[in-house]
Amino acid sequence: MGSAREGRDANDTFAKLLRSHVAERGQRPAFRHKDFGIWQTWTWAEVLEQTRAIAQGLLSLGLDRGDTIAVAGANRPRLYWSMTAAQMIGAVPVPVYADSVADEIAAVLSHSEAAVIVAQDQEQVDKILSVRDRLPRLRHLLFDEPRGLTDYDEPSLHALEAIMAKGRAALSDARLAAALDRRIDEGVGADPSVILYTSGTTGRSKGVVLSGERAIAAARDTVAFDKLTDRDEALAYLPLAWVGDHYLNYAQGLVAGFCIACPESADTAATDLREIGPTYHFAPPRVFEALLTRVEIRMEDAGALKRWLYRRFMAVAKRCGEKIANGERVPWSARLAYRLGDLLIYAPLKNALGFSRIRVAYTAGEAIGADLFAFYRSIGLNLKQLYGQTEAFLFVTAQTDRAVRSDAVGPPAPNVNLRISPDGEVQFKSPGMFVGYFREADKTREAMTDDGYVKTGDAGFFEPDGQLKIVDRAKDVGRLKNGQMFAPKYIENKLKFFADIREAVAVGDGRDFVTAMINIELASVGNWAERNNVSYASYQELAANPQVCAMIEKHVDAVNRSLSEEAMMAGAQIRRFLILPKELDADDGELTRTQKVRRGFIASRYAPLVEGLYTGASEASIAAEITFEDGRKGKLVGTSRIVDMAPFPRTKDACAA
Amino acid sequence: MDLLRAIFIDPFAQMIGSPDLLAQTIWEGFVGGVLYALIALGFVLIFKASGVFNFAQGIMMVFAALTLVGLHEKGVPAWVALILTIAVMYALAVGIERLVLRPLVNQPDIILFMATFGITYFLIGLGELVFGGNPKSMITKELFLPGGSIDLHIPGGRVQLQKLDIAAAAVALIMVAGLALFFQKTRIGRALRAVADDHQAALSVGISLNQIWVIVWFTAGVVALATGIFWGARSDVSFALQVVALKALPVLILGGLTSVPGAIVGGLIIGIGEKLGEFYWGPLLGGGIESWLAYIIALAFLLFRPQGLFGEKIIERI
Amino acid sequence: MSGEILLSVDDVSLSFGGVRAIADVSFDIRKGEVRAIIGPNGAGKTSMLNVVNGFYHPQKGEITYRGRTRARMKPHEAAEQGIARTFQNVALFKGMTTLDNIMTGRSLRMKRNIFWQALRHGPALDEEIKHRRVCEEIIDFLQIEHIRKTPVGALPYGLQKRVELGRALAMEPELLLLDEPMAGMNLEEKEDMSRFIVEANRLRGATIALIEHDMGVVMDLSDRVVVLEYGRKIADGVPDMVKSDQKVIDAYLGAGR
Repeated sequence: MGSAREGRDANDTFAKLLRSHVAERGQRPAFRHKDFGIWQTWTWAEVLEQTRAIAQGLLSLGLDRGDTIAVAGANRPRLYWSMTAAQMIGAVPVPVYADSVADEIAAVLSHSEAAVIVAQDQEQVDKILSVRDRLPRLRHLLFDEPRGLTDYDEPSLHALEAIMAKGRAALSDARLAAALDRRIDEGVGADPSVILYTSGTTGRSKGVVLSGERAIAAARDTVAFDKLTDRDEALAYLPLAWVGDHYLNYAQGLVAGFCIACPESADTAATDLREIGPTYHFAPPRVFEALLTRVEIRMEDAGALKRWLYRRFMAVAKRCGEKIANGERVPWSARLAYRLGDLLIYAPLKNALGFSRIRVAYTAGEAIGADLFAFYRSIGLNLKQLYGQTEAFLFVTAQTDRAVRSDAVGPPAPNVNLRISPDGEVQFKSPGMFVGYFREADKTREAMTDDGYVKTGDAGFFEPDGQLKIVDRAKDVGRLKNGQMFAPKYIENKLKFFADIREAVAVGDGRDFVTAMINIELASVGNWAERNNVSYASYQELAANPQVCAMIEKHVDAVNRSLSEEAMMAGAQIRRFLILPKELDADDGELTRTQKVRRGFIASRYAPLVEGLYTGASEASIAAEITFEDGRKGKLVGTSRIVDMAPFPRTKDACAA
Repeated sequence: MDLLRAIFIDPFAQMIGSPDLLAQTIWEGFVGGVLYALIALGFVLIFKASGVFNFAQGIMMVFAALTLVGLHEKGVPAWVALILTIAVMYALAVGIERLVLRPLVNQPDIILFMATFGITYFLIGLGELVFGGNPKSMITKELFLPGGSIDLHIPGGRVQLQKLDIAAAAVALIMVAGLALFFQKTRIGRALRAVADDHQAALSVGISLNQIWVIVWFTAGVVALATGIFWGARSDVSFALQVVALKALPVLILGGLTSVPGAIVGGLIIGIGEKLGEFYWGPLLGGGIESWLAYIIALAFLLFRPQGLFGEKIIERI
Repeated sequence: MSGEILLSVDDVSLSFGGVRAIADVSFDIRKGEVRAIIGPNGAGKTSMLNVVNGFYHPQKGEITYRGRTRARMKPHEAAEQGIARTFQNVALFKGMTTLDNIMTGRSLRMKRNIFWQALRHGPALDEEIKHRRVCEEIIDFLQIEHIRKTPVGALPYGLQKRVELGRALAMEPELLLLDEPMAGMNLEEKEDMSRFIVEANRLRGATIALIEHDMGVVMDLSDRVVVLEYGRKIADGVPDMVKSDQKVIDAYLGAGR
């Protein structure tokens, strides 16, 4: 932790940074939010005033240095300001996932010992009140949107507005205003700045403590890396509690001084994106995938001329778009065709998606399909990959503008030390790395090596060009009975690159061969069904359709072919698969809140199906009582046909290995 | 063989041979088309808002022009006459709403259609009674409408554009744009679209059908006045002019009874198609095909697109 | 429940040709209450609403609203007096956007100067902004921001019902007539709609008359229930009382099973 002392400067906390923006660009826009159909804008000067009002209000509630303040809700300016306000008085903000159920919130709130929670609206307040008796340390509940909350009889419940008014009144007293400034000055970069709870892919979520100076140092490096300035603009639509939002919007926004726009609601994010036209953007691969699916569905329904133009020019883009983006040499005729395509198709398409002004876009979190990635690159979107972790405060690797590829995640980000341990695990030391897990010193020790590197738990290796390639979670990589390496996620990702497949779960560790359970994508398979006059009433009915099954079989076959071409993976081809009779859902505990499959949980819930895959049956049924995460009980009933696959022989390369 | 040649080859050879003549023909067709479109627009407005197929639209055009010219003949200054004519059209709209639409509300469409015949003969009678039956000429100069022509040089020759035609096209354009803006952006426009969409729902939010009817008939009256001024300036102002209004029928067949863009595009297709047909194919049939060609174009079009240009399915309501 | 009487229907009869839709029905609606009208299909419930808002004129009987007995009232006059309604089969302006649909609900509250309207300037523009604000509050209330600019014809049924409620609320009605607001909705949509109705009643102060088939909803939401059967009133009272009325059980609940 010696590096913490390096590069110290006057603005080593976010509260101080906010103050500095008022001096440098007080009248530039800092936040936007669409409310009642109109974009409201706050300048940096206004944001400082509002934030100070919240901070003083929090003080008046008896909060003090070292307290934790939870923030629950969607991306709203006042929730972001509440985080800065907490940092101003030396308290530590803890953002909470807005879509968590009451139990999850209770777990985070009680572990972080939050004294105050700032909730967005009635929905959040109701959840918290329902677990109130489990939270003895929670003293006050503030809410941003009063709708529906007016006749709540709960003495510890206050409108944020009212607390701000109180704070404002207090700050008109010059002595109190000066005291608040002193408090901000007293904050030091080594203080904890925020606690981010991991999403819990692996066991119970842990509170990752980040310090101000490290967070700011990391954000400075990447702001310089992507040349972000106060003229940039981003749409903040990712969960507040996720490291990605806290880094890309909150930290980088406060370091570079760019404007953060908050959408009107989660449902309107796509429209808001179009209206704002951000210059800096992040979206997980599944969002890009959903957008592409939508574009293609719309193109299927478009007129013949439009469809022809689209096909024609997407072919041009596919041929030379990426080369042009990467600055390679391209014949002038192709360049001309691309220009024309830009005029007729790419630019209007990007405009419709809200991507017109984007200079830098990132995707991360899971593997992205080569075709999907190439699609966006080829229409001129500067889409890159990064690899990151909450413990690193996001960036571990990032691709540079001119060296972008879909199957690797880039070289180490600036000032990041990266190494692969002898057993194949990726380990790093980075400027933004965490201070430790909150109140869990033993877990912190477990996560670090003796020489101070953070263990990512991911298995990976470096490609010849220096880019890191991630295969799977280190602990998920298993072996078949015959010793063949089995990397489930690697196989699942190959399956998921097909638009018809939404989720896949590969099974094989300790077994004779690999099998897979598949979720079809309702949007794309449903569209196919409509076009082919296949009627269906539900996901379950569509999943059981033999034609759908045949279609998926083709995809699985293609995956097997591609696996057969890789030395390490040829022995891990899928021998049998089935289509799950139910859509995997985060509400039912089958996916994490960040939409990753919980493999072990699924394997035990669907045990009868897994059994069927390995007994040689031609179909398997499941009928089980299941308890959903919110305590409801439900019935899970369904039958799946099991399909046998013929493996491909190893190709020559593979034999040599 | 010669006949096929004369139909399928010669006219196109002629078009390519002298592009200036082609351009001239298209321009004239365009101006005619714009005026057809305006007449059709009047029909569409009334049909949309009240479900009435207004047979009297053609006569309203003549009546408006006649009133304007007649008032001027009686010594009223041109601009006062114009304002008075607009006032007369408003009074007409109010009268029709009070005396015809209101008593007949909830009657079958055919009754209302017949009632518009009544309006037609009433207006002819009234016009002749007040202003006499002789053809009159339009007071173009007094209304500051330009005369003469300008020449436009294009590759292959020149096109002569009557300034009056340019003014007609411009006025028509402004009117259409103004109406579009009015319907899209104002409360009245919104109410009008609401009425066109669902009568019952419109009533339930407090939109008064009577008020909307007056507005629509008045708007149609003003459109009729504009059309009347320019048609009148091209020929004479007399009741013979109402046959022009019959041209609106093929336009409506083409564009659909409820579509404003349909009326405009349909008007242009008929106008231009008719002029081209007359000029290039007319001599084959000994000329004079202008009077029925429009219907042939519309019918031919319907063979391929039975739902009309912009495809609304209300044609059975006639 | 001791509010003054807002509307009273006295001895109203309505027939079409020879068919009697309503026969000598009397009941009243008190200010601030939620009044349910229930009954089997064809009991004359919708006809009753149509009489109240002036679509139908009864052959016999009187309607007194806000203390004034009226002879014949036209629908737009009813709207001017503060009576808004929704329809059994959603009567929206399908070609118009959600926002425009809701804006039509403000028609009566806008001034009538066509010339300012035409110029879209000065007072008319200020007015438009003011009313837009009201509509945006309703859009926010009903959580339909994401479909603000979508033509309503393209919306799923549940959302159309919501937009229709929004249009009625935009009129800031004193009396809101809801004709089967939850027909064809799933459980979640029904819960949402119930919440909106309760809030419209409590926070927006609208007196509500409601036709509904879902007995659970009726018993939960309403203060008093009137039961019609074949155009006649067979019961009238608080939900618990109506529920245990033998005539109602025979006629309605029995028939519904």
